[in-house]
Amino acid sequence: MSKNDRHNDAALRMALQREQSRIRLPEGLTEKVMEKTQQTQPRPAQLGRGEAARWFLALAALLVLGLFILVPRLRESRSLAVYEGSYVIENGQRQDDLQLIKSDISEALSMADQAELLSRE
Amino acid sequence: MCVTFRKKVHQKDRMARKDDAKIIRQVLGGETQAFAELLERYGAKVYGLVVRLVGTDAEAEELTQDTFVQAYTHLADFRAEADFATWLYRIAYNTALMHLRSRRVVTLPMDERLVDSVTDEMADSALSEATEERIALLEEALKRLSPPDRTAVTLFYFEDRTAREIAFILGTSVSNVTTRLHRVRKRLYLLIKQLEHEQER
Repeated sequence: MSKNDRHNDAALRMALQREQSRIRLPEGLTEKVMEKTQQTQPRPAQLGRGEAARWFLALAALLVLGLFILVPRLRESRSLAVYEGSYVIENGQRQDDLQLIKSDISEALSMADQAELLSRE
Repeated sequence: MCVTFRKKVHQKDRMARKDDAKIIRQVLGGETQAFAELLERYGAKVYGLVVRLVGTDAEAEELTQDTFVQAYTHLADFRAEADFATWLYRIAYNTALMHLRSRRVVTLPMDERLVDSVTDEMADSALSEATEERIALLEEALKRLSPPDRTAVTLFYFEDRTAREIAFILGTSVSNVTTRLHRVRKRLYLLIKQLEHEQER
């Protein structure tokens, strides 16, 4: 359809206008509708399908991200729980936070493994 | 001249949209009586569309009331994706369509091969020749169109709605509307010929 098509179809436009001229709005339409509507309030806005889908996807993405971050940390803290009670004395200060001393624990374990190997030889 | 006219129409549209938005805010803010203003503005247009689809005044009145009650109930869901009138027309169209389905009113489809056989020139000549007889035949032919065709033609030619707005109202794509408008001209040509044949009998 080109922009000019409206103008070319003059007979069609006139037919529609003539049709419109015969249409009479019923009296009292406004009053009848207001009578029906005034007993209620408009409903609160609801999420459209697109919006609901976007929210769902966002939540799902957050959940997946959360799992990616939390699960390794949970595994780590479970594996470190075995060493509960371990501590390191550094500069005369006792440090028993497993997160902070885990590298010292692994180093110590590694040295112990090496010592065991040497003793077998 | 044409450009100036379109500019003025656009400015008028913008003012109307602002006013509608203001009234909607008032209604949602608790001034529910303000909804009457929207009824005054759009009642006639909605009724005009609905009565063309369903054919009888009584049914059209009932359905127009239903349209506005639905619009009122779901006013908070109105988004700025379309202007208020377009949104209202969409509700009106769907309400009328559901009513026609419940009445099991079926418009017999035209043989599409026949429609294909009509050239643009034939349709141009049928729709541009503004004689009394032709206009009368077109008025009758319009009544025999399917609801989507009827709606598209009325909104495009009588209300100067864009294909995009009509697509929103009909719940379809812009390309579908463009094709529909192109083909409905050919259908009208065939309907005119059919009516002329019936008159000769």
